Amino acid sequence: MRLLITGVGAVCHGGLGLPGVRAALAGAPFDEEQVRPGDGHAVARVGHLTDPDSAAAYRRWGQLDAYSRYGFAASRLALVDAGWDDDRAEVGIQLGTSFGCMEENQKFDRYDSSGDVVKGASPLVFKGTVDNAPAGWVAVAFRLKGPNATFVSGDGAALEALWSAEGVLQAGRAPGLLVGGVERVTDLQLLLHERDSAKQGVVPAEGAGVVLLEREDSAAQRGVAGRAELLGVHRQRGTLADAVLGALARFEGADVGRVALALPADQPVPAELAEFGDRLTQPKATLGEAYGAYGGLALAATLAELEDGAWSGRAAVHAFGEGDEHFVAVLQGLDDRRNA
Amino acid sequence: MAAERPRVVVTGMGMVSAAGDGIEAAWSALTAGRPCLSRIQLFDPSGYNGVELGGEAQHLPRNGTPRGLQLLGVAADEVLTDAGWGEAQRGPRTAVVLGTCQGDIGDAEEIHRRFDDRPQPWPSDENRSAFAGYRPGRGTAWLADRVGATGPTSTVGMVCVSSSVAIVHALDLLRRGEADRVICGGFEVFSQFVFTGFWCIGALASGPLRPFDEARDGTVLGEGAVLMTLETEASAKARGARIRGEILGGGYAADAFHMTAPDPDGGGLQRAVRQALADAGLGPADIDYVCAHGTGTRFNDAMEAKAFGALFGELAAEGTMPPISGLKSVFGHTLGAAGALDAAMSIRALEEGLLPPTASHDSGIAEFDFVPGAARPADSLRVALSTNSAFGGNNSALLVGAAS
Repeated sequence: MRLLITGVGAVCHGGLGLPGVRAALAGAPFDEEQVRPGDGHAVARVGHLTDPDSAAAYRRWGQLDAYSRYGFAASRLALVDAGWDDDRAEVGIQLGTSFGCMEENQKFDRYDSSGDVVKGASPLVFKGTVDNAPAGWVAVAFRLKGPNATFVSGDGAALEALWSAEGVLQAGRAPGLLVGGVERVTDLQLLLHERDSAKQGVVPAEGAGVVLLEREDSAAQRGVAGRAELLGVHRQRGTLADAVLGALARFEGADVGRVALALPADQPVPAELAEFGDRLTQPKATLGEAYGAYGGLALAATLAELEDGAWSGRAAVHAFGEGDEHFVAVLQGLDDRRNA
Repeated sequence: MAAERPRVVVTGMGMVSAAGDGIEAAWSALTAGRPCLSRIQLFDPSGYNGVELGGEAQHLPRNGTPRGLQLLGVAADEVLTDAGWGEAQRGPRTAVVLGTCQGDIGDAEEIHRRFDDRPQPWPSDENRSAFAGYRPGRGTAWLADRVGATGPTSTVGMVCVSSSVAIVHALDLLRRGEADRVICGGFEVFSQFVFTGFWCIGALASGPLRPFDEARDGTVLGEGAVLMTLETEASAKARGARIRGEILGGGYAADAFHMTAPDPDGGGLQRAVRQALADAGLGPADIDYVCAHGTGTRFNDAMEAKAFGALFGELAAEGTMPPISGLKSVFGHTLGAAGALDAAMSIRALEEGLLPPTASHDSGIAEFDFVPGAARPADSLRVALSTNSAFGGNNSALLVGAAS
């Protein structure tokens, strides 16, 4: 069964949806924040997300924490883009994150247990202290009763969710799934991040990237065209080059038009991948290091570029997993969406 | 696709819980219907209006080693021995999948508090290390290193269904050929953070945890780590492994009702169970025993009873509805470890032909057989259904089978 991407939504420092992703790719400036005096950081902030359509879509929008809002807004946009307005009870959602509900954890941990009775423990904040909060809110708001999962597997979490979704759809457990990643950057994270030499040279980023992955029979039944076909998600330990080449060899198709690597901009591309020349991109240079959301945002960026005619054929979208595991999603561009 | 997929078998189990170290300590307490809950020792519970019971794992040293890793270490030692895993099981064909709710959240408490004060200089390298470590994935990485697994690693963060979905994910890895064997399960640390959260939403019991009982008034939190080794049948047989059971199928689905309250009709749970049944190619009549979530809260247990009534209604009319028990009155609610704990005890039930009881249960909320008192022999136990539900409206179902 072919799996099609029939919708895409995103929230990033460039703004909402594919226009926001395009703005980020075009070099929308990062914010400069000082966690403490003299300690400046570049950060790709979404800021105080203003999304009137999401607020209108769900009466409890005001209760959502920032982490959940990012996931919610991107998911809503993907549903809209896919034109899936009703009969979606069997649709599910699978999201990935690295730091998840950290901000709400920090907020909740301010209760006072020093007196005779514990004070300041907020039930409202506590319900945000779960990593599956965004997937839960989206399911409730849009009545998505299908398979619902959240992976907290580090920077590859969004593509791990895509790997999982592929299996769920192929097994016929749902007609379509919202799939992607979401991340919120906290001040605490920035403070502890600064001297982490492994992370030097990257700009922490927050946001969400979500696609609607759908079985071809479902899309056909709805009369909806796809943006791209997901040929598969390859997971492999070892070197980056081996993982990308292994993925492209495994999922055969048209010529390779795009290879999006999760390497920071200042890290050299492996020599084995040099053959791809200007088809290679490093989206983190403009999107920032979005951790568990990165895979979802990289998918959105690749789909925006497909729509803009920047590539055709196949695309490989890479993300680093935990340890030396790599995830590589291989997409096939659909030249004519009506032929999906 | 279903015809080609490999059978997935359980070749080892290990755990630590309030009942002590090991599967057999847990099974012994469970079959005796002996609750292992006591006054909390890890922090002073006197500020919680008389709510003071917990299911803490005993005898863990306070030596600076993260408690989550201590729990995993105990369970890992047992499961590796039980499975007979050694050098031959190290390498890229071995995967690790864990579920947890909050990992080692207790380690973050000082960091959270000190961030608000922002003393100078701060943070220290120690703070930085603890910060990096308290996220759920640390346990997975630690376990992969301990086992020598260099295949796929995954961590599921879905509160109380975390480890059951982790097992479904492990099943998927094996069926899709990404690994030959997986060590999977879940862990949860007893923390004041989570205890305070459950307390402030009014979900904790004032006394014993009473699953499916009219007098139930909340849950009691526990902790533990529960691990299983899953292998393709071919892999297990090739090395002559002892097969303890089989993972027949799994499913998970959302309520799409409320973030913290379950769908009163149990719709999400029913969908999860139906998915699992379809995955396994079974029907409700094939189920011999149900290991329910049974948190002891008013809403959860009522929801589950409604769901089981709908799923097994016809069987109930015939008098052949499978017995149902809830294990949390013995171990407490181990959150991210709960699904794996229930699955492991279900396998023990199939091995022994014994129905685990629902301890601290006097007056049932439905006309079901909740197996009150102590364990009871059953004529034929071949298939068990294990269910869990969670914040976020998540529900999961696992079907485990006896070794054939």
